[in-house]
Amino acid sequence: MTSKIFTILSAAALLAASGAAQAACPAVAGPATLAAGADVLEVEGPVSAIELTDRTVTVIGTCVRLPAGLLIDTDADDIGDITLDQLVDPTLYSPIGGTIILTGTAALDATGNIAYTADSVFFEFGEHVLVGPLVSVDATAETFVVAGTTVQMNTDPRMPGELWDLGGNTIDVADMVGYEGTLAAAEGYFRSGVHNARLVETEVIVTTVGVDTVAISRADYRTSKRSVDVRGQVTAQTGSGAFTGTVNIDLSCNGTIDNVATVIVDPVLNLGDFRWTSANNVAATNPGSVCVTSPLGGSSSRTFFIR
Amino acid sequence: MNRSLLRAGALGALSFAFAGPAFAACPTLAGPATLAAGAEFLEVEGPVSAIDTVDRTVTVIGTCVTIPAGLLIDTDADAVGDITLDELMDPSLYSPLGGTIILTGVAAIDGLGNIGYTADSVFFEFGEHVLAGPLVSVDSVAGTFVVGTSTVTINTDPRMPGDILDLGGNLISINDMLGYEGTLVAGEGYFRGGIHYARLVETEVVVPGVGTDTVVIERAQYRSSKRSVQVRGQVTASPVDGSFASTVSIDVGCNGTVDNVASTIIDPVLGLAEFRYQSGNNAFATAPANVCVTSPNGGTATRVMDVI
Repeated sequence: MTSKIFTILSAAALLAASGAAQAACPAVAGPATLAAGADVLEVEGPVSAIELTDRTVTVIGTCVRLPAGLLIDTDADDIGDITLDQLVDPTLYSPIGGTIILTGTAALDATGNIAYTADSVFFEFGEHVLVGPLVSVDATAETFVVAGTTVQMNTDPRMPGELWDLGGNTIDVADMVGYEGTLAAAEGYFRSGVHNARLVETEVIVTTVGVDTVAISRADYRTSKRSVDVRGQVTAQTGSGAFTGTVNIDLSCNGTIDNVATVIVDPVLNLGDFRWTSANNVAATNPGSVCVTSPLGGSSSRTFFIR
Repeated sequence: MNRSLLRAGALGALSFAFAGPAFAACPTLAGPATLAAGAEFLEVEGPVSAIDTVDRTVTVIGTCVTIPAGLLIDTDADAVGDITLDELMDPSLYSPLGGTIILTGVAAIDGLGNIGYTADSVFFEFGEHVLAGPLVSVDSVAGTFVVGTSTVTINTDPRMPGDILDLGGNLISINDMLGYEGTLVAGEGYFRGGIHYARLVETEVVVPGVGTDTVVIERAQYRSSKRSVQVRGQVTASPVDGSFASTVSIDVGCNGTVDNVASTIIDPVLGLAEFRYQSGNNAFATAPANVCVTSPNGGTATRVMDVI
């Protein structure tokens, strides 16, 4: 979905209170009754007004009340992250014009009016997506160009940006220098000619002098099969240029090697690939994390993603 | 999406000037020395800020991409192109500028070392605003109705004409919604000027038959993996005597052969009788085109089979 046009909202644009029964929402005469199953509400679209005092939001014309304490989900995990006050923090860009996905319930009041109450609210901070070659990096300005778009890491506390290397480790913009021409993916929002990224995934591998570097690009735990899938890459050892032939995979990072995976060198990427897909029922519960160690000194860990 | 109300007349001011021979209408952009394996891929999703129909370029969240001649714009998310770039930019209709495009393509470095992008698929999202809630009121004179507290009308834009469907997936008019206030309605479209312009509205309307009961087929699915069908629906009471049919005949393929006689179960809350047929595995080697359901009280319905 869509365009996030963050306009600055003036106080005058907020809805005024307009009735006793549904204070900040306009009174709307309801139908005589609600049919079974018709008391649900789902709305997805740009938010046009947010009223803090009466805790209402208006999305594509439908005004909905937010119960006290209901947090706004900002990372699509169905768990609330920030308060309504934090969402409309006047020191930050206004969310007005951004996309809200809201679910709730409908009810008729004693006067026959219909009103809506939210039970979940998701504010989409990262709806603009950009995947393409990393064209250039300006380490001084801390910006980079993906495809034809200038990108910077977002610093808005409601959606702070993260920049990842191939192994999912946090890196700096400066670490991307030298990786021009590789693939990068950035999600965030585009405003005033700049893509403000909340998450950027790169193919950067930060090397360390004297050892090789291990990057775990995938660590999945499959609940239905109670199995794990671990994939990644290993660089050549700095100095010697040698690739390790195997890596050691330690589920739970408890010091026990669960698998010795063979490394196959990709001459195009100049990286060694490794992968271990365990048999079913190897891990009765999610191991939490995995550690991969190379005999040439590199090591890495990653939290399992549950599928 | 926040759909811009800019008319096509504003396009000239927004379009990029020519900037080089290789990627004419897009700004020149010095590329990296090489593209790594797999890095020639492009995907962009966001609001479109400029469309140049002469040089066939679109600019989405700052990235300018060439649309090859003949590449159609998908408007219904089936990955098949539907309208031309010129049709998308029809100056007699609302401008797409500000609407969301999802675009995939490829990157290439030209002989001058500049990088350019060419699309291989373009989807324009005409129905990204979603509204599901009780039908509050219907104004058949104005051709509008209220869902939630939003006023909805059926879109007449030829790039995304709107449909209203009854419970069985049949086309109905706004008039047919009268009397169904308080039932659930779902609509997708775009919100502009205080009105939700719907491209698809699904309702719980059951259009009554004249002298017969009414059959609605809510679901007709063919499962390729199991070579089986599943058919579900409802039957109204007969307008003649108020009775419900106790069975319906299900003809998969609508070839005159009854494949199943399904019992109905009356739902006193909805005031409808429900039926369901789940065939055994391997009952149908290939996907039947449709299904016909007939009630002994005279009602019939047909629905195209969804292949899943």
